[in-house]
Amino acid sequence: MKKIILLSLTLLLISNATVQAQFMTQSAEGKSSIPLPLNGIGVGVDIGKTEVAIGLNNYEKILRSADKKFKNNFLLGFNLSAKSSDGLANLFSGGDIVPEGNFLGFLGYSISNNTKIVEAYIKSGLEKSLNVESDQEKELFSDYKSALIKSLKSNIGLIKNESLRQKAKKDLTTVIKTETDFKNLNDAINAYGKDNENLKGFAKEMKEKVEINTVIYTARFKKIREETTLVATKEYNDFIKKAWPLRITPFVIGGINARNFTRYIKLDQDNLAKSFQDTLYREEHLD
Amino acid sequence: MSKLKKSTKKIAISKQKPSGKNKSSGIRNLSLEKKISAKEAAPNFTFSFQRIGVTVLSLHVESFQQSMPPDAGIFFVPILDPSDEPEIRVTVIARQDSPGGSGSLSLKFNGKDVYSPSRDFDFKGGMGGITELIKLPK
Repeated sequence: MKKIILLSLTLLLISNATVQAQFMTQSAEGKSSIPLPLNGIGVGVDIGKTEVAIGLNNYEKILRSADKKFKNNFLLGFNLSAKSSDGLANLFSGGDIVPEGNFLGFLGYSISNNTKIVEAYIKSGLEKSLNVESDQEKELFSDYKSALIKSLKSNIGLIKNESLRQKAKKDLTTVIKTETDFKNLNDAINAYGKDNENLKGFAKEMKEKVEINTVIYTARFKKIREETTLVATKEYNDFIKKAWPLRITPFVIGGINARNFTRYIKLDQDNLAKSFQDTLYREEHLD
Repeated sequence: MSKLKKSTKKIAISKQKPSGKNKSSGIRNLSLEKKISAKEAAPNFTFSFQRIGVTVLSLHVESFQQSMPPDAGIFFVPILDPSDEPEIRVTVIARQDSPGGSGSLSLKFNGKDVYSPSRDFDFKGGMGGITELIKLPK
């Protein structure tokens, strides 16, 4: 009955599971290991050995910890397994289960230099070069927008209708100021008024100006990219070479092994079953 | 820790709704303002890490940077590359927590795979990641 409950619980737990964690406490063979969507929790099922195991630990959280708070580096976990020690064969042939279970707990504290590595990265030449590139590209895009505003002002007079002129000026100024993506900005300007007879002349001039400015912008953009690539590649290799990942995790591990087995007492010829007695063997250990 | 927080550039996602102005105009494309507001509000990148025995310390995609990023997330970053096949700069810094630990990055731009399906990290002496320019999917 317990086996059925355990198996039902397992199926219930994995019904909506997506793989996001490694089942750290599973055996090296890794048979039927089921990582669950909760970090550090896993369920293992080994049909051949009629074994069900569940493990829980917070090691995943500790690995990601970037601060020095005690609670965030405190390692805690357990592994609980239950099986029929005679395996599957006896279960089917005799219908008997000889249960065996063990509980394994561990407690420790993990120290890493994640914080120092991240701080070093933020101060590194690599991060600086990437930020410089980003700033230069934003500045360049801002210059491009200024050039478009200038083109807009010089060409807006091509729209003869006063209300259309004011509308176009307002709309395109807003587009130029608010658009953050290069292609979207060009697409918006090129599309503006192209099918309207009153705006066609203006739209054509603006499209030409966009093309000219794009050529200038593209050349300057490529130059920034090439210069950054040279610096960033070198800085990346230097950082990777110099960074020294360190982790120390002292821990204690302990648990209980329990096995129910049939012990021979004395021969009872009248009732052979009385010759044996169910006995629970239990062993505690701490390492 | 405060330095780490300062270094993380949070992307503010606007919840501004289209104003509904210019609806009555007879001129095409006069609702561009509305369209742009909607575009800015939507994150254009999604990322996820697949990792065993590896911790990701930093993710940098164009102007987006996040220290100790989660295993999956979304963000918006403008594309400023004017070329027909625009590229983005991707930099990942990761550490191996166990020998042989491995990791990879899946990145999607507007729902399409930038890497197909993912890019493995390169490691040297326990540290590694990715640094490269990669073309965006069309």
